[in-house]
Amino acid sequence: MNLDLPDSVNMDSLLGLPVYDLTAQQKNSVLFQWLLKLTHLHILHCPEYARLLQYIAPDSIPTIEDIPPVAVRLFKELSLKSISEESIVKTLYSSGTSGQPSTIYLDGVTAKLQSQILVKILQHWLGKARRPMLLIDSPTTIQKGAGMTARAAGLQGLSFFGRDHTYALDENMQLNVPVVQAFFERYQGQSILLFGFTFMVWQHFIQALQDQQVRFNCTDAVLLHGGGWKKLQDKAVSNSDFKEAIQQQLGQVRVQDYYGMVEQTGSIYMECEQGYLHCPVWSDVVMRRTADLSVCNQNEVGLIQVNSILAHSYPGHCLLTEDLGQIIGEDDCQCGRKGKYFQVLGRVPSAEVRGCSDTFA
Amino acid sequence: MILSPKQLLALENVQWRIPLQGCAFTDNIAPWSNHLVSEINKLAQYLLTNSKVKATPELVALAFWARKSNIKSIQKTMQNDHLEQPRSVVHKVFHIAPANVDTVFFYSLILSVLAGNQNIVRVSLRSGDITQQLIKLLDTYLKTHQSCLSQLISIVEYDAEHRSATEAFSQWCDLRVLWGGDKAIQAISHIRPQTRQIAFPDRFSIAIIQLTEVEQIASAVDGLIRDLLPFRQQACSSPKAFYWWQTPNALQKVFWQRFGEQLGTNSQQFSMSDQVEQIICGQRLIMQGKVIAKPCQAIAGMRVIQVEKLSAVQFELHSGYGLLCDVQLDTLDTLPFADKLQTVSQFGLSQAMLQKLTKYQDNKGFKRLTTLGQALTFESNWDGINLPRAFTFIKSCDE
Repeated sequence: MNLDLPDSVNMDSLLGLPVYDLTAQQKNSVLFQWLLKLTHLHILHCPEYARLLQYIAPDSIPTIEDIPPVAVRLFKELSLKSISEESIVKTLYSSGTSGQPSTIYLDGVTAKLQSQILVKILQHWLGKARRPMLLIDSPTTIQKGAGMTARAAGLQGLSFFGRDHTYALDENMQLNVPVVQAFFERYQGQSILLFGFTFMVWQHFIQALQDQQVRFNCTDAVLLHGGGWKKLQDKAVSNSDFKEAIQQQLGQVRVQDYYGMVEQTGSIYMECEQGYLHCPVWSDVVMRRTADLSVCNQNEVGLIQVNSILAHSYPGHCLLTEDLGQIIGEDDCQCGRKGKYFQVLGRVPSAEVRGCSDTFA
Repeated sequence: MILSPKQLLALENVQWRIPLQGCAFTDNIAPWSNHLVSEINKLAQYLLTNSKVKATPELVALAFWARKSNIKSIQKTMQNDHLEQPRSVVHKVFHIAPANVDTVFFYSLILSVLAGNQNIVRVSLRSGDITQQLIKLLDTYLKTHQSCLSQLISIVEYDAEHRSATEAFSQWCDLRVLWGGDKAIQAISHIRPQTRQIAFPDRFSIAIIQLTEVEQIASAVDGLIRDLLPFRQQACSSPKAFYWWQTPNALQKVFWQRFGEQLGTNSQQFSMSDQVEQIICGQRLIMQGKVIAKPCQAIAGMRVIQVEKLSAVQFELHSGYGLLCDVQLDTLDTLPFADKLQTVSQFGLSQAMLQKLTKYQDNKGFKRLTTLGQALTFESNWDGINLPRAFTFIKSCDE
């Protein structure tokens, strides 16, 4: 087996893969090969990871499911990386509300891959044209400090897909009505893009628009949001309540959720027209039973494991999250896309609560 | 300035679960008086007949402990002391309960009540269901029964960050009792540092077992389950590692099989979030603690992980929740003897082995030797501190 870092020819063919067109069998052979390669790589370069696999011979791992996933929590407690200090080009932090944030170290290869794959995925949904973009956050979020929080990374990463970046909130997280009003007026009738973290969109944007009885009449807008439903579930706001409230205040808006985390930035899971999250060709999910980590049946609720072939600089190619989910099906979603499609059902009860945002870079 | 009960009751961001009362009388609260013992016994009887208590082994255990016969046997250990003399002053004790072991505050509180002290117990906002249940039961009892206990017992809930509340209660009390993690103890010790104080810091515990025949397995399994399940293996006296001494592999195999079977039918189980913690803890021990370990074995909602050996430092990474390290012991020297090693519970060891262990205990290798199944039984002499004496002779007590 070739243990070298993936060469650029390889990478190019990888990037050229269609996002949602490979069948389970085709995808599995690509993923398995790459995930095994990464397993070897991290055993060689990350001593903590090597210890975790001390009783496993990597050459005789029979299937993807037999690669042991690393618990995401360990990225909060330890500095896990497979690169030297000098190779670090970027450090990402999760925006957890309690305790230590996750720290993810990126080298040039991983950082580039992450942004290239993110572009591929989002272009599938948004097209190549850059749209006028309203960011549901405060401009100060990306200016704070030296460290890159997940929210800042997300805003920055997503900005690539828009132009005339306009921040909807002021530095006190209050709705900046004149700015928002000017934005919608300027682009009346055009395609626009709105982006924010689920909780921010609800609490600081939709509710503020409702309170101040401000409405706009969009004709062609996309709202992309992610970061989790935990806080909204506590307030008993469902995905359909969320969509309805947005359309009531803003008119014709296609509302799309995504699932992703700072520990696997780039390879995000987008919500399709049917309301299911879709695995792109570069990443996959496996649901596992908490009692013994065995793989769940279709529709059975389990702990979400995320696999991604983008994690080269840190041992995060197979991660065990603390979220619960269920696979709805594979290759046969009504939306026409191939790959597994699934739902996220929130965090394991009473597991540590995280912040309202995590992903893009 | 010491605040009056009225002022303490009016403190902001503090929720009184059982309000503090003025404590004017002293006549019938002589330490360890028959009157006090009988009042505690009445409370114990009330708890024992409650259906919610019956469904919760942790509560049954504490109600059983508070019965007259047991209290009298604790009292016997203090026989030579001058008890039952009415006090001219009522001493005040402030207990800070831990979030991990729901019922420990009760034992601390009752021993202090028996010593004739007035008590404020601070419980954490993170406290578990059992704590909440116990507080409700106490509150109901005190509201529906005429008892001098209502003047001696009060319970308050507030955020650990609320330093001024901790300061006010520390000023109010003659003795502060801290149950909790090392970090919490360190933080609280800085608040009004001159306060007389007893602290119970982080500890870990282990079990050692020797089996020679299949007939022993049933009671060994029973004992381990009793030491592991309550408090989600969070109590510092719950074993985190299980050491095998000269036991054939075949017997060990049967043991784990029976253990799984019995655990599976138990009314108490490790929850889904406990299982997630087990996975994380197992990985932490290996990745951070450099423990040489085989992959975890899942047994009826908990996990057993075979490790070569464990040092006291490695135990600090072990957070419980149903993860048990399984170790083959070749010599007693490799046990993690340390100041932090609290309880060693044993099963089936020979007299000669027990004597050897006792020598290690005498040399401060660990704090307490008990039988498997008894690890969680509260002993009034805890962690080397004689609590009945400490609560009775507050002025003379050395920290």
